[in-house]
Amino acid sequence: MKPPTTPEARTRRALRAATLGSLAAVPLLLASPAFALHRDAGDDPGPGMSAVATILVYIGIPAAIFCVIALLVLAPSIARGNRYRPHQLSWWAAPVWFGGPRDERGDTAERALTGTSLKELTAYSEAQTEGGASARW
Amino acid sequence: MPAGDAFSARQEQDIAKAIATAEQQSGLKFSVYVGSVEGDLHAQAVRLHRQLADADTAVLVVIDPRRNQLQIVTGVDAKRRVDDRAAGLAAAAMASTFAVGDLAGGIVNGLGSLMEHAQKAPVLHADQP
Repeated sequence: MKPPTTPEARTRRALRAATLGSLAAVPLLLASPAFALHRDAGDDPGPGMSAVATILVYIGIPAAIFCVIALLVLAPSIARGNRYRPHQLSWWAAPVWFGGPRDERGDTAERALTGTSLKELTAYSEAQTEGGASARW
Repeated sequence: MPAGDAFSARQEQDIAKAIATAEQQSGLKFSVYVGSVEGDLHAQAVRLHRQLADADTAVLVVIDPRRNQLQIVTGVDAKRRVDDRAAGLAAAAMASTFAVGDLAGGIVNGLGSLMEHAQKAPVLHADQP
């Protein structure tokens, strides 16, 4: 590329170079802190966290939040106590007899199955038999 | 080892109310036993049934949640009102509700089913020759 010969051409070239140069300089000037000629507020990282503090903040606090949420979810069923679930093959509650003899729950039901009055019942007439049905689930 | 009650107070109320309604509507006596039963369920249920005061007109439902079995026993007179087919229907209704974990609801449903079958047929023209 040949250098400009006429004075007008030289002036144009100088102007073009000045414009391009100033455009490129603007972002660099805006990013003056990057030169780190002087310390700015907030650029000091501080002494750093100890291992204990790191574990507490990044494991302890999330675990605590997890526990609180889990407790909130489980609290109603814990307060309600045991409940029946089919096919668990266990039963925790004392027998209940609604409308049983003398209609007193609990001890009547216990007595019924310990069979204190079994002997007198065997004399019952077998001619008339009860009906009924059974089911399993 | 018993720990805790089978039903909440509210559920016990519902069951007691269902029994009272069924007895009032049908004139039969209804009784529900919920608990673990050792040995043959049918034999034990009949034994429990014979301990009831008005065994002949009584309908007893024995539910063993541990073995997932239930047995309905109808007394000699009650059998005429709730025949074995009706008892079978009620038993199936209860079992299907128990299978989804709802003991109290199944009992109330079953009593309702038994009550419907036991209801006295309305006597029309009773006062006419």
